[in-house]
Amino acid sequence: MRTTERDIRSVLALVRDPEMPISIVDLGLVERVTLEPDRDSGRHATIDLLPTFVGCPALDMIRAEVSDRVGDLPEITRVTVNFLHRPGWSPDRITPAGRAELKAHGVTVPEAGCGGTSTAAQPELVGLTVAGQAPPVPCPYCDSDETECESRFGPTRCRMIFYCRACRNSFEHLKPI
Amino acid sequence: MSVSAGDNIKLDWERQEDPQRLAAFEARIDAGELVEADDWMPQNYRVGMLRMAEHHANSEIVGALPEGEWITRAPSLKRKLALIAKVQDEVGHGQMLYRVSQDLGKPRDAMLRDLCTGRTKYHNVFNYPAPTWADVAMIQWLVDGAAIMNQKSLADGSYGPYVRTMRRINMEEAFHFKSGEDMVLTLMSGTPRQRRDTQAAFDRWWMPCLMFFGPPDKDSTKTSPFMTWRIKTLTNDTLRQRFVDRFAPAAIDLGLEIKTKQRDASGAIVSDDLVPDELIVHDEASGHYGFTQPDWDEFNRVIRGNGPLNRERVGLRRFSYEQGAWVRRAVLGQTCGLPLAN
Repeated sequence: MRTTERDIRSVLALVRDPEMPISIVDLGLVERVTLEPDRDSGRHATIDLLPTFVGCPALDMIRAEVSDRVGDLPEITRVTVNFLHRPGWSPDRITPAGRAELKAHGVTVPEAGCGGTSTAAQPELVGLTVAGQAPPVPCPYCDSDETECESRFGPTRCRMIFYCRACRNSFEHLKPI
Repeated sequence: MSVSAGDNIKLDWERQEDPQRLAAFEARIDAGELVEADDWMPQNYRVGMLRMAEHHANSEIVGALPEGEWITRAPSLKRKLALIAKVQDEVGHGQMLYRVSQDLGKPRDAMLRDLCTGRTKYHNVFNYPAPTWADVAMIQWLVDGAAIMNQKSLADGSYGPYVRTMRRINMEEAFHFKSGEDMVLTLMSGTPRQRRDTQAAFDRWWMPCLMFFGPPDKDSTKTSPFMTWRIKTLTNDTLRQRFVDRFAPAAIDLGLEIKTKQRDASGAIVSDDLVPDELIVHDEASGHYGFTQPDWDEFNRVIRGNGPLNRERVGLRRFSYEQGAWVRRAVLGQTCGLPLAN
């Protein structure tokens, strides 16, 4: 049986982000999958991924797992995994299923459209505030709007720390980029 | 001068709680329900939970210090990037855990001050030095491995805000651990000198990791209500055995030798020189690995502040706290300060 692009996408859905309970497909990392003939009637799979943050320390681990899983499919003789910087990843790419998984874990995602990808024509401005300037983010545990940003620097590059005054839980919010 | 709002936050086993409320509370815990910040809870539950969360928060931020020292000396750009991210992780964990502790009744500034004045502690393991890159690898593999072992059990606890924070932290720690494993594997596949350095680093961290889980069960008093209330879910000795069962075979596979302090026939430690631990054998009947207990006298010395680096770690924390005072004043409009150092 020939391996199709769809087969590749279904094994990619098994690759989980190492720091969050979500697959790289639901996280919106997969930009493009291409299949080309390779020597000895094999096939060469190229997987183009968009890193959430360029400085993300998990990229090598994701690359290795993608390579292993795709390389195990029938007829695949070569796998190339690329991390692209254009277009930029944005939280808008996270699927509804992925949003639900993250919410259950205590991680919220900016509303679709709130982020917007940065392009060369749209220069990036870096905010200089310490905390508290973000729009209200509903609590993932109790859905209250009585939340506040405690720190723009959370436990990972891509997240901020929020606190819900209603249920008194802290949670994490993906940075809008 | 009172320096700590934590002065009145003490365990009091004489205290009589309302029997009906206590029974209802314990029934909820037995049913596996989570306790929330605004729920009624026995005072000793609140204090026990606060102590544990505060100790954990302190450990996260002090734990970032030995690793932070190595950022400028990381052997490659990738390792440096990962280490910077890890240090940010630990500090972020500390911040979330201080929030949990704060909601249990102790102001954040009091916790930061108590850490600087030595009133409260952090994990003993961070009082040991990390003189080589192999030590950084060992911290990430062995110490984080021990932390995961402990924290997985705490994620099954009863206090909701702590449990939820712990679930998130554990995923991140598991990632650190995998990177640590990769670092150790890289070093052990390297030159003879790299392998020697790695063995030396392993020798420095194995015994502190055994101590990481706290004193043997018979020595730790007053822990049983904490088990009943599910503040803790496994005893120190159970966790220590799990750690040995997981890491003894892994270390042997990597080509590392597990050592212990030299003892005489009666089992008394006669020298700080290390010899192979003869008890590291897999027992088919019990399914467990044997091991020699670490030097508990050393543990007691270190916990009392006389470990290799207690003064440096607390000193650096105090330095950052003092240097950052103007930022807190500017941002929070807060008046804060430390009592003068003696």
